[in-house]
This record gives sequence, structure tokens and C-alpha cells, in this order.
Amino acid sequence: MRRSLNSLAARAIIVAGLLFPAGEVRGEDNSWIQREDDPWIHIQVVETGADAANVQVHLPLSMVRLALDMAPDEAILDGHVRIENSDISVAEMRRLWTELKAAGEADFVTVEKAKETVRIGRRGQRLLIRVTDSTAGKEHVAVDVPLAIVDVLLAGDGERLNVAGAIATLGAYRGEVLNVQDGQDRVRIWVDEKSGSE
Amino acid sequence: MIPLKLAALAAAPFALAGSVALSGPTTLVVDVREGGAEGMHLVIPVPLLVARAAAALVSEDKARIPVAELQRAQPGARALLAELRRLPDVELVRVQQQRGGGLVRIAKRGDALEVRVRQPSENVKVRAKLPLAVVEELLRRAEDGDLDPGDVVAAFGKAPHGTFVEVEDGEDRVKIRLW
Repeated sequence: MRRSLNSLAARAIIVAGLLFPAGEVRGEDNSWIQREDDPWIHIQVVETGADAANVQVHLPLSMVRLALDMAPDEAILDGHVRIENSDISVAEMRRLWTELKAAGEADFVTVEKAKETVRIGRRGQRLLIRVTDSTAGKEHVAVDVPLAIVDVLLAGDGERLNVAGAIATLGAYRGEVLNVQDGQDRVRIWVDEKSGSE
Repeated sequence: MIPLKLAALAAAPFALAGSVALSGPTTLVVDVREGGAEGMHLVIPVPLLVARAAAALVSEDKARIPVAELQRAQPGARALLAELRRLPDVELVRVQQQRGGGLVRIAKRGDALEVRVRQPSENVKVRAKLPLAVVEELLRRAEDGDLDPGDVVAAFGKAPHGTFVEVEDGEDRVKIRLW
């Protein structure tokens, strides 16, 4: 989990870095012009440990969309990101997701190991993943994501995730999008209309 | 008549200063201050015209910087800059070390992107301002797919007057200003 947390932190920084890449064009009729009430995406990573750093990124979604448009085609093609070196293919994720959604509001998967229990389930409109330390009886990993975002992310076909679609969906969303807690480490992504960290 | 001529002479520096202020900076000033009792203080003014002339002397083959990617990104980059201009003053990125007090901040302040880096354990502070007008001018000059050092110097002619880089390393300080 530590690896995935670091990977999320890295992705948060990449989103900020995407502000100034090279890439494609958007026409004169730019519908993504920043308005007073345009949503902002906020990413917060809190780490613990000797070299720990706290990362905060605050960006208007309009800028994230523009940055996605500008990314080189090898990285993002038509708003879709290819996932490589993953244990599970996007096609498999898509099939699993369809089955999980059909199961309705429930714990979809429970994996009990010697030292921990993993539960994946749905509560209302959110997908929850919980990893509990069986010996201490404490939750040490908690992931919480709106279903709509996963739906759009997995929309389409092939081995690509629809990141542009997910960003567009976020525009209509307010509140917490992702919350990963791993012990004292934490990654939060949320959307609101506040600029910066105000 | 003489008083009128004197008035005109007296007014000349102000008129010149006004035209400089309106047309952008003309001089890059590098200010180096060494720490310690015997530390030197160097102030090196470099007129931008001289810097451009020097840049023009560099062999064209060696001087051209290919920026095909930048050329491809022009419209998107312009749209991003327009978005940045519309933003209020705001902190966009903050990375803070838990121990040691290291800090990196990227913020939008006025018409510039401001980057601040602080590393107390090494007694280092960096503060840099990247005026959006400079980036816009660089983009404009990169429209044909490459840039040369003269383009870079000319782009800084679009910057507002003032300090745009400050580095403190222990007791040593370097400031780069445009006037």
C-alpha cells in the first residue's frame, strides 16, 4: 500500500506538472474558460517517516482539462490513458466493475488472510475498500471513491482509462473524490469552488 | 527663454524614465553580495540591448534551440496562460518536508508565477518570479519552431521592472533585477 500511496503522490505532482507540457490544440471557442464558480481540484498527501513530505496541489479543473489536451499523444490519446505494467488489465477491471455494480449495495469481495482482512463493497454511491489488521482489529487502509467516477474512468474499450471523462464528471461533483488512509499516511482528493487552500 | 530650456532639461530624465517604464526594462542588474567581514559586493548592470547584440554574435547553428514540441503546444499553452492570468493570487502547489523545514511553493502572484524554495538545514532560500508576459513572448517567438538566445533576452524585455530571482546561500546573496 505504501507503494501505491507514493504512486498517488507522484501522480498528484504529475497533474501539477501537466500544467506546462507540450501538445494538442483547443480552438478559439474555448468552453473551459475559468468562471468565478468554476470547480477546483485539491490534492493532499500526508506522509510519515524520516523523509516524509506533505504535498498540496490546488488547481482549477479548467486548467487540468487544458493540460490533458496538451499532453503528448503517447501519454494521453483523446483523454484516455494507457495503463501498463499492471497486474490487472483495464478490460478485466471493466468486467469486474460491471459484475460488482450488478451485485448492488453489499460487500462484493472479502479476502481474509492471516494478518489482515480486505473488504470491497458499495455503500450508497461510493465504492469502499477497507483493509483491517486482523490482530489489532484496526482499519489501516481505507479507500473511498464515488461510483460515478469509476464508471466514467472505465467507460470505452481497449486498455485505456478515460481520464478526460473522469475530469469532466468531476466538474459536476462537489466533495471528496478519493480518500486513502494507510496508517498515518493519507491521500485526499476533493473538489469544491474554493481557490487554493482557503 | 533660458528658464524654459532649463525646465526642459530638468524634465528630460523624468520623460526618459517614463518612456522606459512604459516600454519595459532596459537593463539586467546582477547584484552579488558575499557574506563575511571581507565579502565583496558586486553590482553588474547589463543593458538588454548589449545582451541582444552579444547573442546575435553567437553562430546561428549553435544558437538555435529547436522547440518543435513548444510549437505544437502553442494554442494549448496560450489557453493555459490565459487561465493563469484570470486566476486570483493563489498558492497552487506546496511540498513541505515534515522534518528539516524544507519547503517548495508555487503560487500565482499578480501577473507572474512565483516559486519559493527554502531549505533551512542548508541555509538556502530561493525566490524566483516568472512573469507570464515573458512566457507569452517566448511562445510568440517560438512560433517558427525554434528560439535563439536573442529571443530569450528580448522576451525579458517584456517583463515588469523589479527583482525576479533572489538566492540566499548562507551569508551570500544574489539578486537579479530588471530595470
